[in-house]
Amino acid sequence: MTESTQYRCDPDGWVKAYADELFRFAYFRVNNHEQAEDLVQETFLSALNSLGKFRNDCTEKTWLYNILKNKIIDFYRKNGSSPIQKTKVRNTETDEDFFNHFFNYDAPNQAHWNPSAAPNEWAVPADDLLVKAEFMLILQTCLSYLPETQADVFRLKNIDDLKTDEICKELNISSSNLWVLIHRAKLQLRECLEKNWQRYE
Amino acid sequence: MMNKLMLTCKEATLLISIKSFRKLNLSEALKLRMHLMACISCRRFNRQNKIIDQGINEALHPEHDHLHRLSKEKKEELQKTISQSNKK
Repeated sequence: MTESTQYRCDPDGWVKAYADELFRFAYFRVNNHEQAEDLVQETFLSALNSLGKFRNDCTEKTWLYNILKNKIIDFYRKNGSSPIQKTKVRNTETDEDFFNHFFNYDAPNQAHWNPSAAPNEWAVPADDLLVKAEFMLILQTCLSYLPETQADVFRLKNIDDLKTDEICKELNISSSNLWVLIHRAKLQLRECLEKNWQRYE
Repeated sequence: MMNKLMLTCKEATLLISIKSFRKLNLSEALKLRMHLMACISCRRFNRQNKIIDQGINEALHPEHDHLHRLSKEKKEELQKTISQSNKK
């Protein structure tokens, strides 16, 4: 492959490279397997149709995601409902801003919980079956709000059964990066669950 | 980072989060235990973390793989469609 071809689209590689990722993205937003499949298929087809415009300047992934996002918006427009309300998304915050939301640094070397972000006692029992079903649904939704890399960590551990060092290798990060990712993910998941499941405001 | 005896809540919740992935070493485990004795918010975090872990293990069980991947048949079908229209 020469230098100039590396930015060109390679539709034959799309399914292998992006299908699962786009599918997950769609699935957690429309919560329906067939609809999600259809949306991914439509995305690839739309992309193929407008391929000419992008032949020589192709950042495939961003482009495919943009098409899919528009398809999902259309989907909700047609079906008249909207996705579950998100809690504030903290994905783009720097580590400093992110942790400042949860912990306060007023007293030196303290970093205790901010009263507004400190965990409340969860009153709803988790072992009741109906409650459990609701919990799982909200957990899935909260998982889908995590940035893709953070969600990948749990996926690699649980579904692909990878060890910690293999996860680092797969995501190309150091182990201390991994712990920060997990820390952020857990703080965010817990908060999302408390707001949506236990409904504390 | 954690040379001092008492952990901050930020450090304690980091260790609680790490605990789901690897065993804590003796010093980490001891410090966490001491912090948890003194801090009700982190005790809650610790309890809720276990509930979340159970949920994640169920949600991301290999049996539920179909929620996270397109089926093989669908992929082959898509691949065929793309290859054909790409040739035109």
